[in-house]
Amino acid sequence: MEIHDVLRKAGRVEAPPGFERRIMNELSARKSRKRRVNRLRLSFAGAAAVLLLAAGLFFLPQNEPVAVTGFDKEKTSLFESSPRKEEPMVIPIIEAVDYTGEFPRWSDQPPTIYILERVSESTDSDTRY
Amino acid sequence: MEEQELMHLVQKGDEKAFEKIVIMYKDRIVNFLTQMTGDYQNAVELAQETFMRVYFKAGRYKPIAPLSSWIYTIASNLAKTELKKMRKMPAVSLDDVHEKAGSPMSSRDKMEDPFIRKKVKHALNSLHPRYRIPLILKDIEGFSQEEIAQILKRPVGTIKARISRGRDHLKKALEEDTANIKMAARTEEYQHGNT
Repeated sequence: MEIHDVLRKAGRVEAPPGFERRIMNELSARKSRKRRVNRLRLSFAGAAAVLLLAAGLFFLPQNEPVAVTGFDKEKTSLFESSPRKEEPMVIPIIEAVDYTGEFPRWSDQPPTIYILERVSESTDSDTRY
Repeated sequence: MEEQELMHLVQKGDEKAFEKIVIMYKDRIVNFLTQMTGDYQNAVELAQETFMRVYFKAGRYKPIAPLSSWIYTIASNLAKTELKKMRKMPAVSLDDVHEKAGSPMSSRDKMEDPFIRKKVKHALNSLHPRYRIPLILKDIEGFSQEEIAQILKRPVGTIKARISRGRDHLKKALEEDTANIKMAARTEEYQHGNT
């Protein structure tokens, strides 16, 4: 007898009765489990994102507020991160000046005509003082 | 409806089409896994897992190969993992598998000699999975060598060699088994003769 004939004599078995029903029940159970897991994953991801945001806002290292001395001390905010440089104080002075008394009034003087005439033939370089 | 069409519907999540595929393949897969593991209850569990994978991994199926090859690939991978696990655990006698588990035999096989069946099963279980899987697929499930190569993802030449070597091993195992039985019978006769 050939081996393949012998193997056929090993006999065949069948699936138990109601096997397909069992499979379909298992399928719906696994589907609902999968849905639940996905929902859980989503909520965990959301919670993790909120936690990270909170950590970013409150726990990340920040610079200490700088104590400012002098003129601006009282005005310095607590949340001001960089120290402000002390600038030189400039006080603008506005002074009203009346020049009317400094010059004589043109109308009080007689009209004068100045004639500019050359009195010497010598050039400027020859003039001696 | 053709298998490919059914599978296309399963890919869209159609449970009715999936149920049809289960009905079409349940007996073949349970039988294959029983031959592989030698344990009917275990085979039923593995068949259930096979069909679950068929549904949830349906997107990976490409219609270039027959559906049967794809399903048998999943089943044989699960069986291989199971056999590895079983090797780590203490061996259980497989002789009384059918009787113990109460597995339903097909009407055709109810006529077979239970003694021969036991002997063949014992010899088959003594084979290494490397030879057992292609041998079962060829001689029990009736696949061609090309199809087996596709299922096991091995070259056709390797499959041919493994089938041939597997048959040789099986023949030897059966002969040894017969010789042992004859020896046991003679010993029993001798003991009876003495008393």
